[in-house]
Amino acid sequence: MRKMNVRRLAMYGLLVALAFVFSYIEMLIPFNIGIPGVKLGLGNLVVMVTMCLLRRRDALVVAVTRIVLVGLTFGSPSSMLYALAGGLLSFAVMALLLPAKRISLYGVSMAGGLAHNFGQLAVAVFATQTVRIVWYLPILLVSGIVTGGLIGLAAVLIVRRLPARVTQGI
Amino acid sequence: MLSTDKLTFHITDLLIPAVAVLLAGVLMVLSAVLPQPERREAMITVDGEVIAVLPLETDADRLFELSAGGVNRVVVTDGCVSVSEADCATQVCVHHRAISRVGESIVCAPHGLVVTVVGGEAADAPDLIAR
Ligand SMILES: [Zn+2]
Repeated sequence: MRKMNVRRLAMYGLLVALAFVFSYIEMLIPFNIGIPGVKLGLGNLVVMVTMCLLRRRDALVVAVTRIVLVGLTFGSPSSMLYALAGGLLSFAVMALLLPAKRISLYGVSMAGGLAHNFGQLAVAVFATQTVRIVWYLPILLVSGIVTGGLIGLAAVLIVRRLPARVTQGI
Repeated sequence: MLSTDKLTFHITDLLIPAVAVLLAGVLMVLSAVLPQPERREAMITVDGEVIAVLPLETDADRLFELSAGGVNRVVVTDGCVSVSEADCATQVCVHHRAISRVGESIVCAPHGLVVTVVGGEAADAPDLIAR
């Protein structure tokens, strides 16, 4: 077994804890009241910042660990499945778009938010064998764009302010 | 480390919502064009709880006296369902046209009553909210 980079391990711990707290905060604020699937995506913010500061595979570790932890603590197996579908699709799209030219973190983040919503909707269609849920699409679309844009702004502000030494030696 | 280019908004970022809107549009058109299931039902819920399921193939006229107060009369005629009468303040539900396609719904907000058309063997609405 290769020796694990201790700084990286510590950073994983920090980031997962941060993502976990953000998920909890998100449950407390009534942003998602009434409309299914609509949420701010604060957990995704941490995944995005991780992707920018470290490697993309580090962001995957944070994303999956967060979803499993949040699912075990607050959720059910089915809610974890929805979260995983949204989270993995969102990660894949963001990881693909991050190196793309002419696409900034705003675009990456919007794509992530939209992919998250599409992923959850796809599981819902599959699980219930009904296409009627497609009527949620306009709401999920608007919410994905708006929250994705906001999370993108937050990510830009964070990455701008973080001193480079934070990620040195990782 | 990230190039500063990633930290400023580009007009090309708008390609992403544009593609998403297009994709969603195609999906919605597809779902509207796809053949409707033979058996359809009107699912009536009050505050999220199913109180009745009426098959659309048989005409029906049901008066729902809600335990929290309030009355809604739900009518099924010619495969369409509508709210013909209600004692709510807004009367939005009464004025809503009759519905018949899967996914359509009539909402009586003051009473918390929702009439939704679902495919046969009404599937439970999924808990879309992942946390
Ligand atoms: Zn009404």
